[in-house]
Amino acid sequence: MNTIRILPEKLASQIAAGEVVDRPASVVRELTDNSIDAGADRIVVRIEGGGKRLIKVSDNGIGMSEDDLLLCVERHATSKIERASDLLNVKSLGFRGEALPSMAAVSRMQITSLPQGRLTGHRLKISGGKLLAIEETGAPAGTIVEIKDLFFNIPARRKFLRAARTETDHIVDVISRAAMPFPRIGFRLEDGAKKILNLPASGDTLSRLSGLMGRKVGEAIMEGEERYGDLSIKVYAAPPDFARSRGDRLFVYVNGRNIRDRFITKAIMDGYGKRLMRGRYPQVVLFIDIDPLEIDVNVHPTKQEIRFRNARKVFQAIVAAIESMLARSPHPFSGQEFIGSESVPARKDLLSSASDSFISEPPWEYSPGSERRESLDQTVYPSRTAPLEQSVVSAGARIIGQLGNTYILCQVEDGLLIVDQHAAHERIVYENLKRSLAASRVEVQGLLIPHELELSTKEKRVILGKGDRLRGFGIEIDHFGGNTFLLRAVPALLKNVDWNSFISEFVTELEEGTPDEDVLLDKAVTLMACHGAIRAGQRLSHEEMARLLSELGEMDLPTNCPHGRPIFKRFTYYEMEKMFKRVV
Amino acid sequence: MEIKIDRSELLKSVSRVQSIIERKSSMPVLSTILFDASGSDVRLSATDLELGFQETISANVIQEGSITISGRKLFEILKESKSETFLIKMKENNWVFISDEVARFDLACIAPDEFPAFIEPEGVAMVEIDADTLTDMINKTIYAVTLEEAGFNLSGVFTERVSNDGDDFLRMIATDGHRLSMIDKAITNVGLLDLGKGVMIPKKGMSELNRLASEGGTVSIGFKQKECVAKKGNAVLVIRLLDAKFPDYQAVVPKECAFPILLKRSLLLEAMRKMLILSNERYRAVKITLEKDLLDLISTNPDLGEGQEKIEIKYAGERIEAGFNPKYFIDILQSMESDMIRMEFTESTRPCVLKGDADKGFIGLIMPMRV
Repeated sequence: MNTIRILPEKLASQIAAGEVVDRPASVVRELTDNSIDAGADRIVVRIEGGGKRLIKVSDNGIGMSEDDLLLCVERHATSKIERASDLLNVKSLGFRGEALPSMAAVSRMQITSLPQGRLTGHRLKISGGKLLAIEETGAPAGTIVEIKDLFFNIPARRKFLRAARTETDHIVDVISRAAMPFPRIGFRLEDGAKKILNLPASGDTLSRLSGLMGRKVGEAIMEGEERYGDLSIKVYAAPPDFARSRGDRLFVYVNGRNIRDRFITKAIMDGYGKRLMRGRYPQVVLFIDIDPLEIDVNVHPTKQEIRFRNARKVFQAIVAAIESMLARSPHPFSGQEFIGSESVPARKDLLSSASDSFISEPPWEYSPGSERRESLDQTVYPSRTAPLEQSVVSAGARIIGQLGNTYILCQVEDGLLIVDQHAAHERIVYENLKRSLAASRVEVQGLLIPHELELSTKEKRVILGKGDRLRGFGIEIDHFGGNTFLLRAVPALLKNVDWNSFISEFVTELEEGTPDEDVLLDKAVTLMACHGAIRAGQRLSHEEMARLLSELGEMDLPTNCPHGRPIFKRFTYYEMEKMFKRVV
Repeated sequence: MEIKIDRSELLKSVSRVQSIIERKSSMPVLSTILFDASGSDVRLSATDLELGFQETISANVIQEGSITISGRKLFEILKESKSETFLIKMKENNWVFISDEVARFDLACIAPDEFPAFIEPEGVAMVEIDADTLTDMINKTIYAVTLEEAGFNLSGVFTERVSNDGDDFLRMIATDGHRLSMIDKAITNVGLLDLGKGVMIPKKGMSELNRLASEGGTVSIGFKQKECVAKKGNAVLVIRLLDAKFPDYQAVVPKECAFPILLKRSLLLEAMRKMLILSNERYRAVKITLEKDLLDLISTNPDLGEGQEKIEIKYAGERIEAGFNPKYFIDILQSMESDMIRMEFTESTRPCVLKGDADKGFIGLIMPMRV
């Protein structure tokens, strides 16, 4: 007897269905994709029992005739492509011709459709892949697909579905992702009689975005657009303070198709760079428009993965787009003189000025960011313009004083700026050191009296093995015998450092032995900056604060410390006036 | 308490304690001056808990007692007045009435018993030091003190007694780990001072001591356990000493130099000031090259540009090159008085030494940078 046999048709299609349809949310995704491809401008999804009992998707798209209805449930039947070459040039969301037959195989399905301009529609009933009936019926223009009892004939699969609430959450996510790039289409999700999501059709992406991500995010969001030949990148990104602990607000679209791709996530994170704290994810909506010939969407049946012909170029373009957009964001210090505190004009007519002047952001000009990347193929660091030539961004900043020996309070044009002195100085030391190291011009100060270090045996082994690397960072250590080492010279930029704890942390980094030289350098500099910076709780004189802020103004990234913590927080007059109910 | 007191006498004392009283202290009483009137004297006290200052001045005491008055406000009131005498009078509920017969002020004050007890240690062996000598010692060391250097605490001036060829000297020494300044002065009876193995006087204490000595004459000074006491006339300054170890500096001071360089102090000072022009946070080093009869100074700052100065000297040693922070040279050279100074520099990993004939007992060390 043969051990290998061909599976019966029914079982084969159930297995195939499992690839496309694995839970109610994927049914919803496939059906809304179809509705979008059908040119609908209103899509209503109704579910019951988290979609396990019922999923009903109604649209007002082009609809299907009787013949189309019969064909659409056949495997690999589609209106979206015709020949193999079309596969390389897919412009619609769907194309595989798998979704409807797959769903038909694992549920009780009913499709009612009336093509635009016809008078009578048809209803097709199919259950477990078996056609039950097709009949004439009255119907609104468009298509209504009803899926009942999903996986009724695959108990194994049904058992693995989660609680109704969890499945509903997934459906909400699917619809949110589908809706983002199509603001002109109205979306509605109802669970029984409850309205869960209502996204009315509107002209612009921003209002769709606010609808999905909340008004606060919508107000803070920044827009950016970059074009590189036939590659266009449009970014809507929330400022780094809106970062979340999960990457659930990263929406990425390639030609309108939502994808989840670690590679693109990495590019977005790189674009934010040090503005983000470790383990935090930004809120970003990213639209990539690219020649369909440049990508392959036919990687997986769920079409959530994508391959780029020139991945590197896309990666760099995303990083550049996000970087340059963030670089345009508020930069309150550049080129400031913080000396004459009396000469500062107080904010004029606090109460009489019209409220719209509070709301409108002053036009920010932050020069170094704008020409970040000259060409895409090679990553070029911008040659820094001399700080003297930087434009004065907001005239009339004045240091009010120090709060709790930790924060510098500063009056700026539109309100109050609170600066974390440690984070600010950390950033300054970090960038200065990095530039010096990059130019191989670290100034190393010899210590008059060598500093004695007692290390553990493990640390000793690392230093004896990799001690040469330390020299490259401006740290000179000699072995004195036993576990004792003498620190003889240190980078001149570092002051007030507790060398014992610094060296033992540094050794840990060395020991982990990052293969990438740049990563180690960055870690080392971050560590040095952290140890060499002014601490919280250290009292600063007015001059010291002024110098700190004007140096901060010369930094490339004055918004976040090397660990990604924010350096300053702004309270606008508008916020304060709201707080004190001067405005309502 | 009720007193009549000479305005200019009082102003002198009150202005002297302005640097001690805390403006924004968490303890409001520290911003006040305590007045204790008894007999025909008034004793003024001010403290920041690390330092205490007391001065007794004569006054017409009408009624004995104590009050506290805001140090800052009293200073301003005295400064603005043109009258010769002031009346200060305690009223109910810690209100103080101050009048110069032209203007009057009623000030809300703090109960005098809240003022931290000021105890002048007893039985301290005191030694008289010429005030100018003391000032000289302080000025030649205080600049090298850093604030809060982690690792080892160097935020003070180390003071000890040393013996050399049977003579006793008072030595003051300060370092921030990069440079060191040390001065020895022969002082009569210095052996009486209870200095133990040396004490650390905090920087603020040193500048108060300097202020006390600035009026000339003599200052008597003594040490006991954790405190330093200094007296001048009717004024007493008590400084709490730092509980810190000074590193072993003996090995650092170079012994011999085969090729010392003699040059005009003003010449080197001016040259270093010029080199400082192009230095910033990132690039502060001036590169010094010594070669036959030439001292070459170059400061290079990739952000700004380059500056150079050549000084003719007599030098027969080997060519040697090293970087230095010009600020350190300026600090030392400014504190010195000699016209001609002696510069000793032998190895690019060893400190450069500065001395001068007119700066007897002084030695300045600067550790090079690697550039």
